[in-house]
Amino acid sequence: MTTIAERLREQPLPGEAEAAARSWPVVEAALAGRESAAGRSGRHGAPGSAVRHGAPGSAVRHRGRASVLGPRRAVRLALVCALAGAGLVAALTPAGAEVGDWIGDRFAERQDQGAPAFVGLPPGGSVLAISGSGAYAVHADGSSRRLGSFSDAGWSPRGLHVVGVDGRRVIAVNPVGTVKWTIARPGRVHHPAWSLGEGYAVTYLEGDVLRVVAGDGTPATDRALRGRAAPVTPAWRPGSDRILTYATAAGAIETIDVVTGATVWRTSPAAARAAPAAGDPAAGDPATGDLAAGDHATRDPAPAPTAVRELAWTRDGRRVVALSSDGVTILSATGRTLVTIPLPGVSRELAVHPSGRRAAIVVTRGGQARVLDVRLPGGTWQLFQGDVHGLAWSQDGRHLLLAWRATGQWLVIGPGGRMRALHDVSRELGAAGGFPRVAGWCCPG
Amino acid sequence: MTGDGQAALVPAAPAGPSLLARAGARSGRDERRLVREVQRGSTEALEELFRREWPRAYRAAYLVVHDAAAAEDIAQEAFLAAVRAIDRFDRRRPFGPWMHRIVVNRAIDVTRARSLRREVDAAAVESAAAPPDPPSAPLSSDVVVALGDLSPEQRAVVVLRFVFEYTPGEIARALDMPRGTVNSRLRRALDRLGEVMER
Repeated sequence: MTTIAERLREQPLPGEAEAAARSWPVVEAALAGRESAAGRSGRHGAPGSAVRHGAPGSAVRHRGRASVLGPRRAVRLALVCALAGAGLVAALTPAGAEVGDWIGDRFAERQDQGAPAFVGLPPGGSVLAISGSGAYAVHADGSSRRLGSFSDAGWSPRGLHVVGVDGRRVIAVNPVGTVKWTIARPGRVHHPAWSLGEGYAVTYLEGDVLRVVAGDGTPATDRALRGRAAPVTPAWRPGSDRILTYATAAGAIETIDVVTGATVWRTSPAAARAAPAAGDPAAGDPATGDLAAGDHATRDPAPAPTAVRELAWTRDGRRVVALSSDGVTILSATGRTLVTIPLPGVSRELAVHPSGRRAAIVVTRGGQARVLDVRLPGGTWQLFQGDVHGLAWSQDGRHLLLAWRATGQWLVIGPGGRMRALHDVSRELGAAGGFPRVAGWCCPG
Repeated sequence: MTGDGQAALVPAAPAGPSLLARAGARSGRDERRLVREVQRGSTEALEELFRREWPRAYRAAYLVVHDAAAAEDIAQEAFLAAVRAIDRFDRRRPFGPWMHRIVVNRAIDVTRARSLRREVDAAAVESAAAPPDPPSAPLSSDVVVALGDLSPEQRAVVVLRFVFEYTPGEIARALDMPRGTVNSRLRRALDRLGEVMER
């Protein structure tokens, strides 16, 4: 037995030191945030008071047993019941009560401690959140900053800037909200997106007109590209400042070269489905985004998925993922439809995993919303059940962030389905305009 | 387990040095001092607690979940929980065992959750189910690898017994299970690990 014990104690484990180095700043920030909150509330709690594990009056639930509740704990029980009523997925833990227990513990601690909600975001990136009162950047150390009165926004490729839209203005700011440039248009602007190469271009929609401007906001570079575009955020090909994919109002998907204005490829809503080719080499040079000569619109156009709601390129630039109301379609870099995956319910939100091999998708059916983990090209699992208002993968793909509107929380789902709840998000951001949705998660510093 | 009774609970020290000797080998008074200082907002004291407890927390999590990424999340979450609850923490109780309980229970939950993800019944989906993600890092020790063949609860019992040197009674309290269950799981786990050791 001694040998077993020694081996278990002494066996070097992978990643321990690195994990400690990543975790210490988060833990340190939690203490700093606790101090800030105590300063606001004027209290630290009672030193030396017992941790209430099963003490009389405690709401801590031991497995399979409920405890006596006091008034504050009744609020906690209401939260746990709300979670059960929302159909919190039992598959995440052996019994739904375990998750409720854990979240309930966090709720109780939050009420006692006043700790910042965002301490507990995984390190390595910042989250872009948008509510009715504007856009916010939320950082892993628990801090947050209002960026502007934006109704929509997106990160630049390395998180050095944010492009937002406010009425008739396209505005670029740095992560602390300092305005870098503004473009004013006659019509209402929406769905901005920064190019994913060196950040040399920004696209946006003015009404149904697709427009592009240089990344430094030079007014002379602002021009229209296409009319009759659908209200869907265009998707830049990763690594490129030229290749842009958007959805047309007629239901097609078109990829264009924004420098020349030429169509690279375009799907057709009316054409018969094209037979898959024997091979599908990635088109062009991933480094520059340029396509191989002749490798576009001469192919038979494949039909577009119905009513495109979201578009995204995979990080490797080899696939386009198009979310429609009834499923998700994967297209090659040259616009050929590879597979269409029907989904149970009406699909409405999409977040493609950095690996490009899976996607998190929000679907609703019968009034119930669910988050599905869809493997590309096939295979679907349920991750979560509840009304989610925005979702995003961390840059390393280890965590999925869900904005859970029903409870005012953000949930971080980590490896193995492990969940962490971030509380009182609206209050923490001072967002008077309603629950903030997650609009992006970028990038390691 | 209380600080006052800690000396009576410490088993005979194992032969040879061990990085994971129980807190009883360090002064309980020193740990109480650190907790008190953290309650007063001392980052240095928190860093000392983190330095002392992180290796054990990470090791316990890793040995149960066998996944470095998940172990990091679990250990980090345990420290965050500790910071959030530090004002209510009773310094008469040892800090380490309190952390261990959080870590091991969370690790059990993670391991269970992995086996319970289910496939949605989507119409006309033709592809075969995608395989689960593999463990994030290979293990080299035969005993550590053999631990992966045990159930999450068996792993937790083994970790608490042989890594943290808990008595069966302490394990029963930490995992909220009957002592008889602890003993039977230990026996089965040791039988399995013993088979590996004899190869």
